[in-house]
Amino acid sequence: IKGNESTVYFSEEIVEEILSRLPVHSLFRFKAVSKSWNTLISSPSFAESYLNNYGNSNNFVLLAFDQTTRKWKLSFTTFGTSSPSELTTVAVGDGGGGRADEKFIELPTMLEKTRRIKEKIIGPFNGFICIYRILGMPRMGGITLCNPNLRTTETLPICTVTDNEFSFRTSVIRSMGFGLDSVTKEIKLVQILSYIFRFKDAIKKGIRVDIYSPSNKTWRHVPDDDAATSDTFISRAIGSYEDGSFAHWIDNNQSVVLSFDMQKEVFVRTPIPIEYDQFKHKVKIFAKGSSSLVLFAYPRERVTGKNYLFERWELKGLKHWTRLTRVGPFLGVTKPVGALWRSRVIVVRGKTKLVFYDYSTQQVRRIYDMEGNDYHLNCSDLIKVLEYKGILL
Amino acid sequence: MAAETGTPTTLTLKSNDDELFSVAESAAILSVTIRNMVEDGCAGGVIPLDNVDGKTLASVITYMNGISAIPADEEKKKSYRDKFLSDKDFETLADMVLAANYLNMSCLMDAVSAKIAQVMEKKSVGWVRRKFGIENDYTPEEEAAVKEEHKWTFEGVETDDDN
Repeated sequence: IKGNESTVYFSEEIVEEILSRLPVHSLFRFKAVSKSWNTLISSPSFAESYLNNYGNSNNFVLLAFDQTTRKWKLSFTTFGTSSPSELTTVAVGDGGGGRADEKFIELPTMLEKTRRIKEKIIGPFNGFICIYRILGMPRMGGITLCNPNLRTTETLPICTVTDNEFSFRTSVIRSMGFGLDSVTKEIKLVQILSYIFRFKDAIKKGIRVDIYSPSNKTWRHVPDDDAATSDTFISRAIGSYEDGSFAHWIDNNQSVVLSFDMQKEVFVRTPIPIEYDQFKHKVKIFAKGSSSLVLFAYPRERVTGKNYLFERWELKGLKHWTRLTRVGPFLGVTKPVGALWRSRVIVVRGKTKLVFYDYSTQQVRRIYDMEGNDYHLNCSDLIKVLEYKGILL
Repeated sequence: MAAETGTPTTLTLKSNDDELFSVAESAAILSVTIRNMVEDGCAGGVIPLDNVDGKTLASVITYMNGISAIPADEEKKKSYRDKFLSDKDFETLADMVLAANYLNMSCLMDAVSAKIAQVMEKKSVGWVRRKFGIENDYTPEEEAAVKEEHKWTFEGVETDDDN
């Protein structure tokens, strides 16, 4: 520009003010601007102001299974910062309206070309997502760990299981959970194998726990005799506390929450507050922050045109359940698929729409119309909406 | 603070290049810096604003008048801010963010920061260095390593439109 580079010199405070309003992918690119920008963008204090600015707008991460490509997709979606009470319908790829800025990352998959989807997904945790095959037999392969920010993918080595129990004709279901060792700050990936088999006319059930360390790339068995002989069967992962101190599961009878203490490497069992008949009610639990679990219960059979309320409980510090006000009403076959705690929103899914419902004001905040894309909408657990963790993904 | 009187008070602001501007006190006190001066009774004569040039100050005053004329309706204020900033280039926005910071006007600061972020979102690393006046202190090897680490974020970057 005409020999005169019109450069400006901003204080670090102003630079931080501006950068905290950029999307994650731009920030990562701008780490290459200079060493001091790299340091700033990587700093914990910046992560905090980031959450208060960009991260505080209506951002969410959508994890969904695309049935055309038969791949898991991760999309970072932004609704911008427009007023929260505004009711907007945002279609995918719609540039107008609420600035729906959807950025896809396709995740690798080990899926076989069958109709049934035999994979589940957990995360993101500290930037990682884990996709795993739920049927664990006969060999215990089929787990992929990926970091979408860094675009890395790692297929985990086979977890060798030599227990006697597994040499019989056994049905084995796998469920995974992320955790963090608070001392070494290393990620732990916990695998739970729930098995059931017939031995001398008796049905035997149990749980086996193995932990994978991504830094050593090794598996390690966690002996737990109580779990091994327990009557519990687990196939549904809840997720982890934000700080990684616990990962949680709910048993298939919906009677107990199993929380794995990442430090002591033992299970803490917390009964569900009241009995929800698994044939009449569905229970869905989400982790909130680093010490809370929130439970939603709703009728299993729901029909179009009818309204339903979701019952709500909160478990703090794995000690006491507190009954919260019911939320809703929700129309028809809606079910909870995520919660954005910072914005006091739970996300429910109807036939083709994601509805962002503010549980404090009992109002719909956003409707995200998924019509016209190929997300698998019929099967359960194939769509997850997660709180945007800003820089940590 | 002085008691409200029937006649609106007018303040005189002076830019660092000695331009004088008249502005209603009710609009000017959107700036915490100016409000403090008024409350401290230093606003009797001319208020000197040593860090803001005339061109930028004129623009800030336009904003002050425009936004304070809108009643308490956050949606309308937001659309005024969007419109106000829509045709501003990077250099103007840069001057405004410095002025907003100096004048301690949080609503303008937020809006301009967000606008600058929007402008730079798809820009190249080189563009940002030039516009922000940042010297590249990486060795070529270090820079290549940082770029390699976040390779995918270099997709969809706009071609630089400055020279």
